[in-house]
Amino acid sequence: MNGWDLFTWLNCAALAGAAIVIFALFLKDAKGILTARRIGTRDAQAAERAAAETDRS
Amino acid sequence: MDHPYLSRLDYAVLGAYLLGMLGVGYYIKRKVPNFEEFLIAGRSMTTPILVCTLASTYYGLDVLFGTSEMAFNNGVVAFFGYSQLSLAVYFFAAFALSHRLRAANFTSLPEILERNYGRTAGVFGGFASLFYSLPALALFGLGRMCEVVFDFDSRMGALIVGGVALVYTLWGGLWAVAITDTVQFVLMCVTLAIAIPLLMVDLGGFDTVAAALPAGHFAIFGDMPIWLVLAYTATGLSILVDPGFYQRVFAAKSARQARDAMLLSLLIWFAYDWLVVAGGMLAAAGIEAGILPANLHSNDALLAAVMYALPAGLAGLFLAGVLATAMSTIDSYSLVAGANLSYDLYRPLARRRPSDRELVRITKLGIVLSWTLGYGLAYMFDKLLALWVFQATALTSTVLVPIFACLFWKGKKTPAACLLSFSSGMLSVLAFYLLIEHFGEPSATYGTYIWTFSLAGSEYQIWQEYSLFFTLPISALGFLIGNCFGSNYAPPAEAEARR
Repeated sequence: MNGWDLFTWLNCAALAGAAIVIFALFLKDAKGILTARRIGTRDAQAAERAAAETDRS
Repeated sequence: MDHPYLSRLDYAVLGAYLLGMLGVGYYIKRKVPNFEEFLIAGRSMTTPILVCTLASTYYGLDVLFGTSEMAFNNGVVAFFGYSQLSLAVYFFAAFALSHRLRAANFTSLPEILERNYGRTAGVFGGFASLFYSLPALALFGLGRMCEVVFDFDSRMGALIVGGVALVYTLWGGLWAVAITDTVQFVLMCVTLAIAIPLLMVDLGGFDTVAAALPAGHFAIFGDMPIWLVLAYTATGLSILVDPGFYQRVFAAKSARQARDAMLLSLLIWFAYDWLVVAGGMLAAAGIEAGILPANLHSNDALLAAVMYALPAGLAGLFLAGVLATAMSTIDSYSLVAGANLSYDLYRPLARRRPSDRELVRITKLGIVLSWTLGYGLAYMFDKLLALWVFQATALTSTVLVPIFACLFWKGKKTPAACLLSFSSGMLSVLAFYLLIEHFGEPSATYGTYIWTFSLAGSEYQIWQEYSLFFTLPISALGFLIGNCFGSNYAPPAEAEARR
């Protein structure tokens, strides 16, 4: 096999392998990210409601 | 819709991809409660998502088509002389910048100038960053791709596909950008890693390439002048002041996560660069072998070669990957430009402190404005690549010196130093471009302007690409002269309390 062919195959393996591993790690993190966003949204809504009530009183 | 290489399945894959991107944006829309979440994802991004968004944002159609075109015409020099040397600058950024930027809890690049040199400097930086972030080249590339691949009107293609990127960015801010970038990153990488080996096998590998192309295509640095190699390396300096890169570092959960993401991205970029170069060379050999049409433009060669090699379904996936390459750049820079308008221009100039809701609203307005300006520029100029190089040169020549002084120099640095550095850098860029266009000759071979002149019996050449060799030292000189006037900036007590 030509040296350039080998270099190309190695880079293909590295690119595809790295992309799949990184995506798998992202999926692992995704649950935590979405839960945190849900809590963050709830907190922000609660803060907005509290601010509105303070304004009224 | 009849296409020699595309089936109905490919079109279905493309349609599903675009709808999927909109779906992600809509889902994220309900989960972005405030400005910090919208702009820098609540500073909670981890390494994997940072890798995806960094790798996909920096690699746009300019890399896919520009680098492959260079490989098609000149060979492996496109990898060793053009792409890889600038990765050394990215390596420096990973170690030297990520910690300093993340530790200071900045929100945007111009804010670094504002905090260290005052409001005027921050506003100047905001304008420079906004101009740099206009997504003209990516929108033009997207339209051109729609024209070449689907035989669809270029402007309409950019409007529709670029419009999808605009809508999900407006809905979900950086979270929508980063999550769509993640899908786009996987598509970009995996489809290219499948397509190139298939093409290689079809053509008989690099033995066929060596037989079909001149031996010079395998010379590591080709016949490029050393100054041109250095000039290409210098283009990598723009990452040191790239607002999109800074935004991702500010969004990282920690400095370590940002550094690790940069280092992993380097591995991705290295492999991606080589595959693009290999694709360009294989396409050139495919034309020589009569497999691809002889009248194929070097710019479109990689696309045509890959479409030829991939089976139905995968070709659609690859095209989705190509759309992704452009969309991930459009969404990121539109968001940065939107934030420049709200956070770096409106906030410091407003009489009272704007609320979170107001900042998000103005950022969204800025996203639409920058997208529209980028679209307008894309079809107003015929030399889009030159415009992009000008945008990058202008930003690097104006803000690199003052920003690096903030990050690496503990001694005296005055507002006058920043303003003189910024203005001398900007004026020198304008002067350089005017001079080179006036005295230089356009080169059809290299697609640039070259000014040839004689001095003391010897002949010299100045290429348009050499601009940073002149403008950056002038900006540094402006900083040193300005630093002799005044004293360090003292932030008003109100601004201190606000932080």
